[in-house]
Amino acid sequence: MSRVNTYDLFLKLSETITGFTRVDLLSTGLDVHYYEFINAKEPKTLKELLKKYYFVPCSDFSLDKSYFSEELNFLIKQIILLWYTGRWYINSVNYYYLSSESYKQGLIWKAINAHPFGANPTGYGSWGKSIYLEDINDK
Amino acid sequence: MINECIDVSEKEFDVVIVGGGIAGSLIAKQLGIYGKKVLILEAGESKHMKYLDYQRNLDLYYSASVKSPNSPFSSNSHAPQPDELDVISKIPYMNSKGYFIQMGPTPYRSDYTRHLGGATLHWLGTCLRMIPDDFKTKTKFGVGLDWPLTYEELRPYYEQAEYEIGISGEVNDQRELGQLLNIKEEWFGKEYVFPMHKIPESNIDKYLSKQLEGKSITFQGHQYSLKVTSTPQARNGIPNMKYRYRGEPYKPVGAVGNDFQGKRCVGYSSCVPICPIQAKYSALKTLDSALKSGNVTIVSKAVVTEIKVDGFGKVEKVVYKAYTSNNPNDFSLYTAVGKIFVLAANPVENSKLMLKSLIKNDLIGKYLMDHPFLLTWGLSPQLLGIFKGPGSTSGIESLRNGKFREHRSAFRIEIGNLGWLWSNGAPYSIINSLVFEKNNSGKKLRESTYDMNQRQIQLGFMLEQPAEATNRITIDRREKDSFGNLRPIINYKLSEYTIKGMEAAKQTASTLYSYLGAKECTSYTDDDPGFIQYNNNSYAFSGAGHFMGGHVMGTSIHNSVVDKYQKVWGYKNLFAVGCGSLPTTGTANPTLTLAALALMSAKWINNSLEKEKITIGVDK
Ligand SMILES: Cc1cc2nc3c(=O)[nH]c(=O)nc-3n(C[C@H](O)[C@H](O)[C@H](O)COP(=O)(O)OP(=O)(O)OC[C@H]3O[C@@H](n4cnc5c(N)ncnc54)[C@H](O)[C@@H]3O)c2cc1C
Ligand code: SF4
Repeated sequence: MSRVNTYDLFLKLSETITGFTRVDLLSTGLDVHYYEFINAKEPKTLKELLKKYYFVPCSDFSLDKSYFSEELNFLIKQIILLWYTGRWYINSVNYYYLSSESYKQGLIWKAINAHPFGANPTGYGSWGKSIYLEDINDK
Repeated sequence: MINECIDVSEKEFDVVIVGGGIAGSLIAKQLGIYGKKVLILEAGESKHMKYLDYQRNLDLYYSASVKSPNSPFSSNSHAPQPDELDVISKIPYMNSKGYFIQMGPTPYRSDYTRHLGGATLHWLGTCLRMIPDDFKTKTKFGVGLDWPLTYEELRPYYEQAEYEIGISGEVNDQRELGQLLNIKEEWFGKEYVFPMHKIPESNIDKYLSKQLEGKSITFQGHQYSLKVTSTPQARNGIPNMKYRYRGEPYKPVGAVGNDFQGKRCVGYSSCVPICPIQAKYSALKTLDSALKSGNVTIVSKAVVTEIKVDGFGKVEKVVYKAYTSNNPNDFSLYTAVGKIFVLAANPVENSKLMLKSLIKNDLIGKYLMDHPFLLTWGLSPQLLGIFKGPGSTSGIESLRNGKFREHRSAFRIEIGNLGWLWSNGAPYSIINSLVFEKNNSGKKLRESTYDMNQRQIQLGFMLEQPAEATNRITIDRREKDSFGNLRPIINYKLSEYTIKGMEAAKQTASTLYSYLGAKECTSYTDDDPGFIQYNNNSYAFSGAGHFMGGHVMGTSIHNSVVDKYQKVWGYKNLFAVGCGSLPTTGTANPTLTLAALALMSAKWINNSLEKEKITIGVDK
């Protein structure tokens, strides 16, 4: 697999495991950074994961099934959380932020229809304008 | 003028202030306007008075793995600070690895920051007035201490404080609350309005408000309403054209060094620990305008270590350590001379300085208090539209007063806008468990993350804590850190009165969650440092960041450290200001009251300087 290909495959895998579209992933501006980071950190496991992923039917993907080894499974979780939180989890408890940018670009904020605290403010009074609670809005 | 670590011993000031937090800066500003020569000695750094340097603190916040109150404001070895993360256990020794030596039996869980601007850099900005009964709890409920002044005396200074800080709020909401709290006195003046309109209520505020309409809870046969009330707060909103404190409507004050920013809150949601645009008030704003008077000098990186008193109860000078680098030996000792000295370094540092300098009064350091904070959380059947806006914009305030205060603490209830952030580390904790424990991924993960976060309700109960002499700050001259700083020693315990309040708080929480049709998820585990068991039920308290007591005010040297103007009994020209002077905590976040008291002291100090008489020091 060539470099471009594996990067592309990494994005495809990321789409599958995060539930976000390629556009969402690219909008973080950190796609290449994340790919290179993981590739530097876990070159062998990543390669193995991508190879294996290449042959999984997308619809059949699930972390519950033992299709992936424990090691690959853990890497998948690390990648999911990297996209969602900008953190690199060393294990299920310990982590660090890759950068202040990765904190701000965490997709979790989009997932919960919010914004990273301390960045991308939503505007004066936006916190009282719900998309869910129309009936009680601005009574 | 701001200088770092310079020698000022050649100059003489009218007033020397120790500490550039809100208390010190308000006094400096007033006296500067009155034409007095003022010096502020500030232990920490001052570079964040420059807009771009302030912004750099944000990066520390973004990349901090735990976004605690002190995460943007790093510790400084010449002026160490406590950190709430220092408290990790129920064992006092284990909690003593930071700045404080915690003697227990329960941990003191709050922190502060020692940089110019002080704890208002990372505060939330909730600015409630205390209620008149809070000033006379001993007389009225037989609990705690009475104040040497009444609410009425302080009311004009509350108004001034609301101007100086810049409060957004709806006075009619407070008036309505006043009726629920059975306040007979004039709590807010008849014509009074806040400088700015209230900050809009959040989605969850509105939802709770609707669901709790007409609902109440009964304690000992008395019914108490569960009404939701908007919170007056120290963040910029839309000016109220009816406001006429200084003859004209209020002009919101923007960021220091960049007045285009921060004139209105835009919902960065990071008020604690740092507002990126300074829409939230911090003492930096007051310092900035104090400097404009041309009469105020700030010297930062200047840690006051001792107060020198002559044989007649008059302070001659203070000694300060001016440091230039983060090296233990890189400092010089200088002195500062003035007519009046004001300790405004916060309850712990004020007490430490007075104890170290052998100021004569057995009560120094005693009556340390906080607002023990009981977090509760639940899941709503309804998606709420949270994780936006300031940390809190409303509360349930109707349980702040009642006959029950004869035997248990009152409390206010803070409605959180940021889900289980504080109680559980949401939204991260949710996704962590979905991925690691539930093996979720893909679309399902995304949907569950959304669903489980957007239903979160967090209600924080902020409890009154009466003054007790055994809760105290002391020092031991042998207990120094590697930089030679004395470490504060903290003895702290919650009395049964407060724990009973916690019990009532927990009952109230359950009632509230059931009215809301929400699933209560609160659970306290015994590895929590604030874990307590009482009557077979479990609780865990946190700190509110509200250091109070240590130099309480009273009517004589026998029951207090300072008089009602915050002058230290027995000393002609020494003041100790801030929340350390509060004899009771009530259930209002304390800084607005601190500000009102500081403004009252400023006026009094100015009058005495004007008279140039030795009236300063005439103890009653
Ligand atoms: C997370 C958090 C949230 C909070 N939220 C609220 C809220 O919503 N509402 C509310 O009312 N209150 C709140 N508070 C409390 C509030 O921040 C404090 O009550 C207030 O800031 C205290 O002001 P101060 O000027 O007395 O002391 P500080 O702010 O502590 O300022 C003291 C200053 O003195 C300096 N200093 C210390 N020692 C020395 C020395 N030896 N020599 C020279 N200088 C010295 C310090 O560096 C500092 O600048 C909160 C606190 C925390 C921690
Ligand atoms: S919500 Fe944002 S803009 Fe508003 S005060 Fe808080 S941090 Fe500042």
